[in-house]
Amino acid sequence: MKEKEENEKQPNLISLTFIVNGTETIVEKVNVNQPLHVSVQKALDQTGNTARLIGDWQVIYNDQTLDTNKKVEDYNFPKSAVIFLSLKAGQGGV
Amino acid sequence: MEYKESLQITDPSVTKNKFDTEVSKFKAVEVNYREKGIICTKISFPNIFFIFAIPKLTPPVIAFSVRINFTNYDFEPPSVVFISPFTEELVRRDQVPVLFIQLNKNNPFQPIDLLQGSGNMAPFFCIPGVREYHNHPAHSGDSWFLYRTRGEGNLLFIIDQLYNNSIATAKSFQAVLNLTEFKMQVQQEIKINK
Repeated sequence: MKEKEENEKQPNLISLTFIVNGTETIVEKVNVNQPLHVSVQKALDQTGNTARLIGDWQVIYNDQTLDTNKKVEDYNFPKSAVIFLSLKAGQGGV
Repeated sequence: MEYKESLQITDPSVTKNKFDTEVSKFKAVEVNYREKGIICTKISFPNIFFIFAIPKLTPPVIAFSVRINFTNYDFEPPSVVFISPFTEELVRRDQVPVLFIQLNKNNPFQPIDLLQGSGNMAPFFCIPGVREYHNHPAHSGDSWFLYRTRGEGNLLFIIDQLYNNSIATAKSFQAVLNLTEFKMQVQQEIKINK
């Protein structure tokens, strides 16, 4: 109830669910006007994945790689959205 | 088909512990991966078996199947081999009808097929964090120990790479159904009935 009231007061704040290398985490109070990389960094911090730079991660939603410099609101994520963060692979092939 | 299994040389209880950790991490998000078409079919230490299907297509298809082997993990990275989803036997490169494409940083116009191997050789997934990559003579300068604690080589990393570099963006497929044999059988039956 209290949370609902808070959301009504601050409609530009949402929660985003991330799966970072297999660990699920929810980033609360994401300002939809902020670039996506702010919440990506929070998701990395919350899951203890701080050893790698943010640029080493691929941010994927619905099988599309997202541009983390875009605003969160540009993607219009539904409440059930799950955003995957996976490490970019090093150069492969023989 | 040529394929070298690794012998367990590290303490099996340590490997088993680390294997269980990887499995439990996967189990925690298994539902999300199943929705993408990544289905774990069997867990039998030190192996985990997966089917990669494409649920977006109609009818949904099985694109490929792998066995990920954690022998000596994480002293050695996991091994990834491509198998038949029905018999679990190793398959040849031409039996994996999927491209695993990665952009070439040195030449963007010439993408790299990450699934290497031809002829009688078992195909192998050639990226850092996979045993076959680090054991290959072409990568003797790129040791597993440069990656071991950095995230590459864990189960979800491997699953993500197999998926992201292949079927993630698949939108269609072609199937050719050969009905010649069926037609011949029908003709024979008609003749017999006459």
